[in-house]
Amino acid sequence: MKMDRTYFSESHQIMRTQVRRFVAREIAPHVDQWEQEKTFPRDLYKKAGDAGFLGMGYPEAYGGTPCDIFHEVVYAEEIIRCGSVGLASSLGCGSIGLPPVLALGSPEQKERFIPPVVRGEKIAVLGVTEPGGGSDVANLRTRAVRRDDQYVVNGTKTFITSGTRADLVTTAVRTGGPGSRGISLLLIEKGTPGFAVSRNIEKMGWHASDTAELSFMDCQVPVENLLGEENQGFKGIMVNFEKERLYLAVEAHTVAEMALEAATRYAREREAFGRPLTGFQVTRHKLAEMATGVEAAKRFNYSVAGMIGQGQKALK
Amino acid sequence: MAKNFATSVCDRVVYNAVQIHGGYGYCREYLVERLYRDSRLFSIGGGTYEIMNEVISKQMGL
Repeated sequence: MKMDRTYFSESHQIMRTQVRRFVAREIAPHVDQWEQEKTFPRDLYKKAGDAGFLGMGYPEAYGGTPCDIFHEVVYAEEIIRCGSVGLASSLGCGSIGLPPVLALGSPEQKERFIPPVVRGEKIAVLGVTEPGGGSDVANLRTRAVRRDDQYVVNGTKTFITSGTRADLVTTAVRTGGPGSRGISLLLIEKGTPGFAVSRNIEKMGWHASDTAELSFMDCQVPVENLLGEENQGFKGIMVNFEKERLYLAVEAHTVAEMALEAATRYAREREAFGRPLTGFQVTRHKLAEMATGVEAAKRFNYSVAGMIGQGQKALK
Repeated sequence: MAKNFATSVCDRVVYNAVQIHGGYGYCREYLVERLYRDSRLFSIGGGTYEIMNEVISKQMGL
């Protein structure tokens, strides 16, 4: 593939080759089967961790691999080329589960929780969305009440990617009054009394990825698992937004590119009415329009990645 | 803006890719069938298309 030198250097190209090899060796041969089985082996996290893919952007002190935003873009593009968005997302669930720990956590919390996830030994996920809540994050209803050295948590979380086998749920709870100023983040570990996976949700797509409903019934969480200060958790949720949205945008342009490639290949090979589909102007123009959209989306995403890389706000 | 733009491009492209494949595009063994299903979440997850538009319009001072 041709390298775009405006944004990518030699080191990005090396990264691209590495991820591509990983996908070809560890994922591609099994991906159809895993989509059918609606799961993938847990040791894929370990393999991705060993390859350094799960610690991208984290400090070396916590086992991370320092890199710039375009290494992450390259990773997002290449991992999704395995052809299963579900698998890529489930494998990458730590990329939304961990940043709040890095942003708000104490040195002890970071040391305890980040390295095992970066190594792929433990799975960290983000637990924000609630049934009936959706986008209205600031009004979430899961309650945490402090009792001595514990928080007692009651509520339900839903649409939690990789939630059925998560070891650590970065959970948004209400500790204070209404609105975003009453929200705290608690690190809730598997095995905590009162924490259970209540459902594995069946979905239209993303089949290789599990999506869970989690329930907390008088769940007892030690106070040392509070991230940052009480009622300051909304900030921790916000730190995810910019990069998560860039990731999704990059995934979208890559999936579109893959669909374009598949359609172009098919249109060349398939014959109808005595000529290949590309022999029809209507097909050629359709492909041309698809290609234009993909190219524009890609350039737009790269320019936004460049802004984020330079520390500019990319809220819009 | 980038997310909304990319996800709408993707929605349109996967739709057309299935259409070009005809009946085969509706069959599990063709990649575009999965891409069509999997990509539907892009404009919903991590901030819906509508929430993104709210963010954009706020930045526009509306």
